[in-house]
Amino acid sequence: MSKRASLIVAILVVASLVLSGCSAPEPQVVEKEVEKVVKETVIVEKEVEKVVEVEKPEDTTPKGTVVVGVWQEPKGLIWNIFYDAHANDIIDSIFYSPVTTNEKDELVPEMLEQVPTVENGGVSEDGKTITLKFKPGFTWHDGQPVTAEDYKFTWQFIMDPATASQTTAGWNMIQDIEVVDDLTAVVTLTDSYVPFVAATLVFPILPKHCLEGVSDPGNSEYARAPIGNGPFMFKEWISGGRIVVVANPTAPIPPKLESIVFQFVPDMNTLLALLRTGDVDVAYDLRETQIPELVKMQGVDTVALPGLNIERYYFNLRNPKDLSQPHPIFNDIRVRKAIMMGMDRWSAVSGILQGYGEVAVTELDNHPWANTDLEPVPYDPEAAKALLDEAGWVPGSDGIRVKDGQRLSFRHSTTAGNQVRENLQLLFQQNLKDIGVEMVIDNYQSSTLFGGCSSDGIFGTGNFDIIGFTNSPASIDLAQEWSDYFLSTSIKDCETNPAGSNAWGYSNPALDEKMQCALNELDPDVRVQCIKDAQKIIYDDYFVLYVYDRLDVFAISDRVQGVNPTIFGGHSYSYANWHIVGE
Amino acid sequence: MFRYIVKRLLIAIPVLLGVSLVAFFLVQASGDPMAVYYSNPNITAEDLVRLEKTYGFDKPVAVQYLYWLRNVLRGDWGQSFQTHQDVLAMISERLGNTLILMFTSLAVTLLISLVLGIYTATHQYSAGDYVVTGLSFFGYAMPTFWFGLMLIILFAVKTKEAGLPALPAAGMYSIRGERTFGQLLLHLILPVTVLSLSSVAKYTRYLRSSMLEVISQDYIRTARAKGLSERVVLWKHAFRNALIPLVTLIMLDIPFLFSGALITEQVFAWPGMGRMYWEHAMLVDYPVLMGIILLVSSLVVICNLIADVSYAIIDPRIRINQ
Repeated sequence: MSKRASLIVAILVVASLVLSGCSAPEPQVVEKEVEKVVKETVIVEKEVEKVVEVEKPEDTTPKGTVVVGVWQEPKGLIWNIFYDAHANDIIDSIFYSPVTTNEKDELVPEMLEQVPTVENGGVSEDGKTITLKFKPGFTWHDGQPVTAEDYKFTWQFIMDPATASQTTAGWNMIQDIEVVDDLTAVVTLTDSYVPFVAATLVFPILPKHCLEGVSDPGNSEYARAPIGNGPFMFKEWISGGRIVVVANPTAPIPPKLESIVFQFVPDMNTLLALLRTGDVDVAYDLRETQIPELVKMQGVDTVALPGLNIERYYFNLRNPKDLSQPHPIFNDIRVRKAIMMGMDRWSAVSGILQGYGEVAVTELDNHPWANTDLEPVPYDPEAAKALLDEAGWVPGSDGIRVKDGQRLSFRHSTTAGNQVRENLQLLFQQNLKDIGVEMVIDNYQSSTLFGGCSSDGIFGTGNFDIIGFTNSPASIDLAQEWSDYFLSTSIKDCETNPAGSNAWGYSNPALDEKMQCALNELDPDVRVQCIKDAQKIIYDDYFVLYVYDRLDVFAISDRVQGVNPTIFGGHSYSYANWHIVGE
Repeated sequence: MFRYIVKRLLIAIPVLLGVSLVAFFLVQASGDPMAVYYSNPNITAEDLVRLEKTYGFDKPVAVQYLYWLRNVLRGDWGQSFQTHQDVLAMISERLGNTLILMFTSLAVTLLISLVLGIYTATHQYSAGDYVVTGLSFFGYAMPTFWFGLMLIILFAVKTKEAGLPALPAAGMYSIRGERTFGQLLLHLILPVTVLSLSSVAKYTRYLRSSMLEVISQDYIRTARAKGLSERVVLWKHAFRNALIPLVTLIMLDIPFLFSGALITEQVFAWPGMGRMYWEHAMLVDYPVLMGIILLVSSLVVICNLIADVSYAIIDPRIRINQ
């Protein structure tokens, strides 16, 4: 085919694509023709740019490619179906969201005119009605405008069981959405739910014209080649290889890079080697233990932020053999407190973690709403021994304490094969032996440890004494997920409440009340106080030990500027700002 | 011969059924596919119940197996719980990459093993024999992940830092460049070195002992007595006979070329089957795991059959007993 003929074909194809929207996927051969045309236009644009340069010194053409090393490939690119952090990090480049976070981790509007609050009238006095006003000028990458209809569709799409959405958190509070005009939507909630803005509006809107009526959207073409509305457009996904996104020329906030390559490198050591050779420019979600090697690398900046991921140990308050009974050892708060005081977390952080981490205090360390009046549970073996004596546990013949014929021995379970966790266990095992407590290490592969009721999982059936893992709040505002671990209504029971997350059987009416306030209180100051009080109640009940705060580790090549990772936004809030220097 | 082949293929049916049954229960026993959702704080309690129902995890394992079997018999290998893609589509995306890596390694391995095997057999107990034997055991004993990483550091990182031409460390094609055949060859060098070095030992030792056995046979002495040159004796009489057991060995290895090399693919970020299997095994994504297991076990059955049949063809002394 001659060049001219292929151009005509391409134009016809473009026209037919526009007419048919996303509903009729075109054969691949045709897509290639379209690509050719795009490339040619780009060349022309560049020539024009050179001419203009004389008058206008500022050159805003997107330039250069940044390679991001990703060690976990996403499963798909529709955020609610393939919900995980690594997928969201890539999706953020292809989609804007109604609100986002800035370099100070503050909630700021992106597609909306303003972040809705009671003061600015975006949220009604009773907290049940939320008005969203979208900025004009946002379009899908196929040219269709983004409208409030798309927002309403996103809610319907997420709630439709046929979508098989992984999460409905927050969206399940919506009773109805009224589309007033193309740029205005009024959301009615079934009940006041303050975390709504941060729990739902930070996620992308999905295009109605692409996904409406698609059966099994998770297995659709869209799931692996999405049409977004963000600063970058999806270009290709090579399974096991990479995802490439290219600058969106019509983006309201134009990106400075021509393209970003998300290269999948499953092995951490190989990823570090690629950073050293300059094949990879940016890596994230690295391990604390890699920091010493990273800081030695030339031309690579290492950023380690004290993060929201906190390693914690939950004490089972129920008897693992009979969940209707209290735990034979941990029922006594003095025993729980003594065990916590018997673990030397300071040595753990300075030794095992080589100082890269901090001894933790509460669920919300490093969060603006952390209760900073609380101090970490101290390491004090003498006080621990005194507490155990007081509780009636006396040393037996083998040095392990005994009471009423019961030895002070418990199982400690976490994920098998994680070296840091296993080293921590060995240290604490020794610490506890010194105060006459036997800690038996009983680890499981994570799919068994977190397994539910139907598969006899450890978490599901409450078959543990202490269970250890890392978790973090899912959004900048605290939503349901935080309370689920602690509410008495969330106590897990395979018969009556198999989906509960409170597997340790914790129940305290005072905490339930504070948690309710955290979800419903409209006065921000009162609400934050409730959240701080809740931390204090959990702390005083000594049933969860926050072991240490993990660091979020980023490595960024000198040639890339504008990443500025933050605790909440990570590296992905700032894609449009990334640029290359010195080339 | 034809009846024999048909008979063997019919026997394969209960064998494959048995394999799938055992594999299914083992995979299920390895953990809970829902576990990944429990530790995700943004998934609500209602979501968990709904997802469990959608994927059928609330049904007994035996029922899940029967559903899976029914669909496979209809030609539907199911969908991944994780990627929602059809299992066959996922396998076909990765299989080619794995075969490129594995068959290149096999070819390189055979080439080196043939040379070394014959050399060590004809120079038995010479210094060269000891050196080759020693080195091949060294390669065999080397842990793949460590050796792979060392090669990356030496030939990709250190060479680049010293300003020398460096080899690519990861992937199938250049990260920033075009996807060309030349790039593919360059990217094959390190992983193929790792894979070949570990299997050269096996083939070399095999060929060496096979050659030694043949060389001591009476007909070789006869050939020498006839006054044939050493070259003709070795290549025409000894080598061809020594190859027969090697063919079986290769045929039995072929099915596992399809399942890929987990550690090598992981270290060199090669987008192959081994990596895919591992990633989905961690998540107990059983449709994907079962698909790969079924593929490989079918190949084991078929390649065994081919090995037996080819034996009869290569060696006229062997007749298949019907």
